[in-house]
This record gives sequence, structure tokens and C-alpha cells, in this order.
Amino acid sequence: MMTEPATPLIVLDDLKKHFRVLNRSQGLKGAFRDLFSRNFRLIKAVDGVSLTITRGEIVGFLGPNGAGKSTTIKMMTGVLEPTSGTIVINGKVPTAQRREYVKDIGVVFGQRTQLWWELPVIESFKLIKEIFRIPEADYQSNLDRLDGLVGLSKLYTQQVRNLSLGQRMLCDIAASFLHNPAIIFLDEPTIGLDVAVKAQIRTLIRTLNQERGTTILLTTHDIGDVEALCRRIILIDQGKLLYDGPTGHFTKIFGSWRTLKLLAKDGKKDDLDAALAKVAEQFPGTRPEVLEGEVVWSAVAVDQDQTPVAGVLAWALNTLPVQDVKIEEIRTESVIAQVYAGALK
Amino acid sequence: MSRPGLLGAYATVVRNSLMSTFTYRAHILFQMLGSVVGIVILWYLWKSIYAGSGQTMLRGMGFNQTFLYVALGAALFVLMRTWAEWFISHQIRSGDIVVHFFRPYDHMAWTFADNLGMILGNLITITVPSLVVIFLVFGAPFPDLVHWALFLPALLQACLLSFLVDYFIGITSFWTESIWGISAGKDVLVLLLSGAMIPLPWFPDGVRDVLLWLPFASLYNTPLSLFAGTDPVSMDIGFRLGLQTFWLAVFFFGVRAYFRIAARRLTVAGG
Repeated sequence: MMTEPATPLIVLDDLKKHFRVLNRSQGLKGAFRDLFSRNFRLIKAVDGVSLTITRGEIVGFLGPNGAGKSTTIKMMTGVLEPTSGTIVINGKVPTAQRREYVKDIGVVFGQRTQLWWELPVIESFKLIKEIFRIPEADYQSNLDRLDGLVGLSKLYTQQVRNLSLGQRMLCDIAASFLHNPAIIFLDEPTIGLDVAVKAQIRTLIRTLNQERGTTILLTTHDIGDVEALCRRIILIDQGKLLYDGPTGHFTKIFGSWRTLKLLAKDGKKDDLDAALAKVAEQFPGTRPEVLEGEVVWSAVAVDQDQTPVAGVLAWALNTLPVQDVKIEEIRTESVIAQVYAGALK
Repeated sequence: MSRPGLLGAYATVVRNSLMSTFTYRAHILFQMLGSVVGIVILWYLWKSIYAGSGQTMLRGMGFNQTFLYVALGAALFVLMRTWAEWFISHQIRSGDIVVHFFRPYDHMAWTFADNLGMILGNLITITVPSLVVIFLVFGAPFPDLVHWALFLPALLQACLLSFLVDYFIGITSFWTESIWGISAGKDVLVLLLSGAMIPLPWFPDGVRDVLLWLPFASLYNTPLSLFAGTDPVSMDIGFRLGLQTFWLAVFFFGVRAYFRIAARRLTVAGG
């Protein structure tokens, strides 16, 4: 089925998924009581999400564990039925037209493989060719392209159970592209992988997206994935959309933050940190920042809407033992950490 | 249900499943040895039962007939034992079953194809060696063509029914989450009531007449009695095969409805 290029490929409208969960009591007595309990509570896993995605986008789904992003993906892939609201993807309703709909999509769940465990990788690919009735020519050219991108052919004869996690993930992602789906859902595709494999996986996803216009939705906790792949971020927490927009603007959702990094004179980082601890008393919209894995530089986060960085810089240079300075954009990671910690609530 | 376009996919599943069974070489070797030892034990057991009675015919069956019936019963038990309910239960409890929801095929047809591959694997690695032992080592009388012609369709129906029973039990773990007790219970009931362990003609007449009507008999007694030529009651051959088909149909439609309910529950409650 052909769709006009301008029309959205994915439309979610006021999507909700509520689960009824039994309130469990403690202890043996409680466990017995629970057998007869009608004491349910309602969990609003997804609570009114609306969004549209157009053909060819790569969209990153972010949110802390339990935010509702997996539930949203499960509804979009047709595994879960929404409690209310609508989903239309490629002109189809996933749960109602499952058999037809799944031909349009590829799905990779980082934790589960869809490859045949005991057999060489190529046997799983051949099976996928049969399942989706991929024409021989398409199948061959897809395999050649994947081989050219990530050197897949050397894995063909290896049993899936003998692959490393990274190799298996490459094969799983490659498998999801074989039938040329319009949309691919990737749930944590780089979880637990080393830097080299992550880079390969990002190359694979980005290249296939550019060459075929495949729409890609991925969930991840790795900001590297987002910055390498996604022009658009959708942030979900407690079942609601917190942010939906360009990755570049994402860092501004709390204001125009900059990070001012300071290097202490004569290695007196402790003295400098002690002085910086009180920075918020001097300037509104500032706070000392702890940099992960940083032992040399100290840092202050400054919201330029409230205080110009120049003012804080002048104060630091005049009154503190500072040898060197750097001013940086606040990192995406730092913004997300604030969201996860509940700064928006 | 599946469309003809997917037959190639299901055939590939059968092939892949058969190839997978061959990857576990030690498992095959021990199953083969176990089956042969089991047949040897059965031979001595029933030999001594006949010797102890001092008669050549017991419950209307000679030793050769009884031995063929029980030895083949043991071989069929291993043939049809594919542990399908354990695989389905594992899929459900681990959540791996969702992978099948992303594919345009029928889960039951897929699982059956997978099961068929395992049955073919068992046939080649265990059943054929067992038959060699039964006929060549112990010299059981080789049934004529008529008996083979009756036995093979009955065996096919028995394999289908066995799969449906396993599939039914596997889906039950949507609710029970554990499968051990149900599966073990089923095995005991089947072994005892189907003729897999004790030939149905050996049960008291009243009990036997009831058992012949139950689906258990369709699993083992029907193919075994047709093969060994034991005709315990007046229930004629055509009727026995028809009854088997009847139970097959009942289980087929029952299990399909059951799966729809389970899948519905999965999509609504998240399993």
C-alpha cells in the first residue's frame, strides 16, 4: 500500500494503557488472603500519549525504567491492546490487522533473540526469507549490503548459541531489515555491548535508514545512541509525554543552561569545590555540578535566562583560586539525569 | 489458519527443527541406549509373566502379541514425547512468545511444524533402532502389509492428537505459570490409561470398555492394537480409527479456541 510522502506514517491519539494489579500483602497469611482479595489498584502505564511520526525519521524514545516506553512500543507492535485511544501505523490498526500489519514492521528486543538457537545464522535468515516470502533477488542484495556494512558473512556458518552478545545483536538487527519493512522498532539495541559493536550497530541503523528511508523507533538509555542517530527525541515519564522535539533543543527544556568548568590552582580542588558549594547563594539559577568520573575539573551549571555566565566567570576569576576555565553546552546526559531524578515533577 | 503461501516457511521449520535435534549428540545417544535397555527389560518382564502363569494365552493375547504391543508402545512414547508443552510454557513465562506475535504466521501451525521436526528426529535416531531390536534381536513376528496399512494412519492421527494435548497443556501456563505438576500428571494418566504401559486388554473388562472410548486409547491403544493384531472387543477397525478422528477434531477446535482466549489475555493484561 502506498502512502503519500507528506502523510504521517505513525499516528497515536490519546493512547492509554491501564493495568489492574492486585495489591499484595506481606507474609504467609497475606499470601493466603490475596487468593481471595479484590483489592486492586490501577497502574496507568501509558496515560494519554499523542504523537505523529513521518516516513524516514529516526526517533529516540527516552525515559526512566518503568516510564511506559516499552508499553508504548508493545502497543505499536500489536502485542498489547490499548485501553483507550487509537494507533494507526501505515494505514493499519496493529492489533486488529496483526497478520497484515507485521509484514510492515521489524522488531528487535535487545533481551530476546528471534534467531534459531541451535543452528547456523544463515538458516534463520533463510527461514525469514520464507516467512515473509522475500524474492530471491531482494534477499541476496540485502544480504550483500549487510555484509558490506558490518561484514556479516563471516558469521553465517556459526551457531547462534556460540555468538557473542554483540554478534548476535548485529544478526538480530540485520534479520529485522531483511524483508524491507517500512518501520523498525528497536528496544535497547545496544544494551550491554562494547564500544566497537555499538559503533557498528549505529552505522548499520543510520545507513539503512538513509538508503531505504526506513522509519526507526528506538528506546535506549545510551545517550550515545541518541546523539549518533536521532534528530528527534520523545521523552516519556509516568505514562505521559514530557518532551517531543529536536534533539538539539532538548537540552533547553530546563532553560538555557551552560556548564562552567574551572581548574583549581596548585591542585586545590577541594578548596575550590567548597567555595563553589555556595554559588547558588550568590547567583540565582546556578548550582554546583558533580562531573561523573572527573577528578581534575570542578563545575558550575548556569541558567543563562537568570544569570549570565560572564557574571559567574568574573566572580570566580576574582575571588577563587582558578587557573583555567572552559564553558560548555550542558550535556544531554545531564538533562536526562535531571528528568529521571524528578526535576520536572 | 495458514495460507498455502506459508507452506514453504513451515517446511523450513520442520527442516530446521530436525537439524537442531541432531546438534545434541549425547542426548540422542543416551535416548537410544535407554530405549533399547527399556525394550530388553520389557521382554524379560513379560516373558516371566507368561512363564509364571504356565499358559500360552493370557487375556486373549499370546506372548509375541503382548511383547510387540508393549515394546512398540514404549518406542511410540519416546517418538511422540517432544516436550512441546515445556517449550510453550517456557516461551510464555520468559515472554519470548511475543517474538511470534511479530511474524505473519499461525503460532499453532508453527509449533506443530517444529514438533514434527522433532518427531522425525526421534523416528530416525530412536524409533528405527528400537524396531530393529524388536524385530531382529527378539524376533517378534513382522506384521504383514495390511497391518502396516492400518497402523500408519493410526500413528499419524496419534501424533497429531499427542501434539494437541501437549499444546493445550503448554497454553495452560498462561494462567498457572508452572507446568511441572500438570505435565507429570498428564504423563502418568497417559501411560496408565492409554495402553502405553499395560495393554488395554489386560484391564478388567468393564474398565477396558470404558477406556476404549476415552481419548487416551486413541493415543496408544489404537495404533498398537492395529499393529499387533489384538482385537480386545468387538469395536471394529473402522470405528476405532473414526473415534480417533473424532477426538482429534474435538481437541483441534478446543485448543484453537483456548489459544484465542490466552492470546486475548496476553494482549489485554500483558501476560
